[in-house]
Parts: sequence; structure tokens; C-alpha cells
Amino acid sequence: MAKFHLGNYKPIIALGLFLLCWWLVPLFVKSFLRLSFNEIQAPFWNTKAQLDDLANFWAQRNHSKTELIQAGREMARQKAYYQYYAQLNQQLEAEIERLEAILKLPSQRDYRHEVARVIKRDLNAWWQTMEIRKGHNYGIEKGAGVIFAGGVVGKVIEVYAFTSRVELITSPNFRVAATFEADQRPIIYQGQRQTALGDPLGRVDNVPQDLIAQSNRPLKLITTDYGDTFPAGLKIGSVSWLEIGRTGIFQAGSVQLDPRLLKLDEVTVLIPLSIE
Amino acid sequence: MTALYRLLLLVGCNLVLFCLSGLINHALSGLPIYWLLVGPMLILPAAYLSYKGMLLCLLLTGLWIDASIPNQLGGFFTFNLLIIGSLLYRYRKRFHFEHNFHPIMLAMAANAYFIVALSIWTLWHSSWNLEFAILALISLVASQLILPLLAIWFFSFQRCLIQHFQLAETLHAD
Repeated sequence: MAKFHLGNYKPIIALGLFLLCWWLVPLFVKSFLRLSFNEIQAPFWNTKAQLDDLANFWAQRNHSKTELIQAGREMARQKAYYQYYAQLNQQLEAEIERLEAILKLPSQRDYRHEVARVIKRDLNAWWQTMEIRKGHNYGIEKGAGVIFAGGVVGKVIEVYAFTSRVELITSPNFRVAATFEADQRPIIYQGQRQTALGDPLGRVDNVPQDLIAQSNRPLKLITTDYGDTFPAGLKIGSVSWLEIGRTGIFQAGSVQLDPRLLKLDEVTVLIPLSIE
Repeated sequence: MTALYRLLLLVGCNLVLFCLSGLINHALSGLPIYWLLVGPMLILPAAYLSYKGMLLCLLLTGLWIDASIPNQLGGFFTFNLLIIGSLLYRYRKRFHFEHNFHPIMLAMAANAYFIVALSIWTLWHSSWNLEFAILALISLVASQLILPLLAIWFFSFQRCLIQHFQLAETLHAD
């Protein structure tokens, strides 16, 4: 039998001692280290995003004048269209305020919109996050909701000096109160990992049994204002099939999310005005 | 000072590899493929550095990686890089690091360990589901397929820089 030499195991013993010391290090030191390492990395991803912007700029410059004129015309049409809706929106908001005053209702929570560029998408089996190019410098707070043109994107989970990390709506850790458009009863939405080569998905579990979803008439899932993260009425996804869940009392089903979620370049962070 | 410069150079190489894999994963984000390429980062530090140097190199690399992933995983990469690095250091005399065959095999084994350990760690904190298993398996296969090619470049890159900066005279001296 080979003789046991303690000296041969010096590296393993040293590692054990090191890990023990590391375990005893106070939490604030570890948090500080994590924060520092993240702040060191931020310039790399910021630079990469700026270079992408520059590449886009030069790609746009290659368009001919005729194409630019056509794009300008199209933009002018779109602008006129949205100006009309902006006016309509103002009228509706004034009407809401008037009705709130008459009925003595508490006013709805207001948000500031901060548009931010996505600098890093990190979507895999273990975590589903993305980093955006705005952080404490723009007043972004942990827990703020993130949206895009197609609806809800996710929630801010970590905020640094110049960047923030967003947990996507597809993450299994993401849960939010939701409701169907034609129904006021609250249900819980939870993210689901992306299936192989499929569109992003989520899941609803406690849907009342009287609701029927069909593939030709899917139910639109929207946010509620219960959680204070999102305003009511933002699109989460659509449900085209519901079946009896594990409890036997409620229905459950998959939520089809916008496929653009996995390729986002720009998002909007909702900052509740009461935070400021 | 040579040992310190070599340490810093190997840390720098690890960060380059991590940033490159991040760029590729960013571009591939619409697909279910994800390249987790941590295995090659601990091979040459365990082979060419002193034990203290290797620990410091892998500690810095691990902290860098852990800072760029969600906090719920704690110090997963720091912890595992140190453990695997120490094991490799303990048995490093059995391998030939001057050629690429052993380093590539070790990098593949270490990388597979990281993916499996990360999957087990994730399952420990959440419930089992088929989507997770499929995605983790795709990531494992994709990473292991690309790894030999990438490792050849990465080890050559590290050796090239070590020679360029004339930090090679004390290799294997510890």
C-alpha cells in the first residue's frame, strides 16, 4: 500500500483553507467585489455597442438619396398619423383625470419612460438576461419594468453605475400578475425556457375554467397594475390552448410571446415617478 | 516579476476568451445554442504557474465571470474553477502540456464538468422540466463540438503571448 504523504496534498489543503477563508469573508466585501468586477466589464460592452451603432451609421450612409427621400416621406406620414393619436391620447387622459376627480378615485400610477440600448443578450438554459446601457446614471431602480413595442420584456434585477441587468419574461424566475383582455380576474404568469428552435414561451396556471382559448381566437394576456411594476393593459402574449391544470380546479396553458424578444436591440424602462 | 506578468497575461487571455464567447452568444441569442467555454481557462494556469499564482489567476477569472451572470448563482464559477484548477495542479506532472492533445482533452473534460455542474446547481434551485434538459444538452453538445478548434487557437495564443513577452524562461520551474 502506498505511503500517505501529507505534502502531496498540499494544494488541496491550501484550497480548502482558502475556500474556508472565502466563506468567512463578510457579504458586503463579496458584493463590493462583484460590483467592482461588473463595473470594470461595463466599458467593454459599452464600446462594443457604440461600435455597432457606428457600423449601423455607416451602413445607413450607403443608402442612395432616393431611398432616403422615400424613407423621409414614409416617416412624415407616420408622424402625422402618430400626431393625431398623441392628441387623442391627451384628450383621453384629460377625460380620465376628470372622471377620477368626479368619482374621487385614486389616480393611476405614472411612469417615466427611459429608452435604453441592449448591449448584451445572455439567453441560455441557466439564465435569461440582457444588459442595457443605462443604470444609476439615468435613475433606473431595481425592480423597474422593461417593455418594447411588442409588450413586456422583463424586469430590472441589478443596477450598476452605467448599465443594468434585465431578467427576461422567458426566465422561469419571472412571475407577474396578469389578466386576459376580456376578463378582469387576475392570474399568474410565469416564464418558461425557450424550446429548441421555437418561439419564446411562458405559462399561466390558475385560469378559471369558464375561459375558452382557441387557436383561431387566442386570448390576449395583458398586465395588471397589482404589482406596481407595470401599468395595466400591456401585452404579455397570447394563449391559444388551455387544459385542466394539476389541481383540477383551474386551467393551465402556454403563452406565446413575441419572437422579437430574443433579438431586441432597444427597450424602454418604466421608472415609477414616485421613486424619483 | 516574470511570474506576476505571466499570471496577468494568462488572466488577460481568459478575459479575452470570455468576452469573445459573450459576443458570439449575443449574436446567437435567437437560437437555442449557447457556448459555455470555461474549460480552457484553467489548463495553462494550472500547468505554467505556481500554486499561489494559479489560485490568484483563477480567482480573478472566476470573479470576472460571476460578475457577468445573475447573482442567484453566487460564486459558482469562482468556486469550481478553484477546485478543478487545484485538482489539475495536483496531477499536472502526468500530462504533457507542451503539445495540444492533453490540454484539449483536459479542457473538454473540465468544460463538460462545468456544464453538468451548472445544470445540477440550477435544478437544485428550481424544478425539473424537459425544456431545460434539452437546452442544457444542446449547449453541452455545441460547446464540446467547438471546443477542440477553439482550444487549439486559445492555447497557441497563450503560448505565443508568453513567448512574445519573454515570460517563458521559468515555465515548469515551480
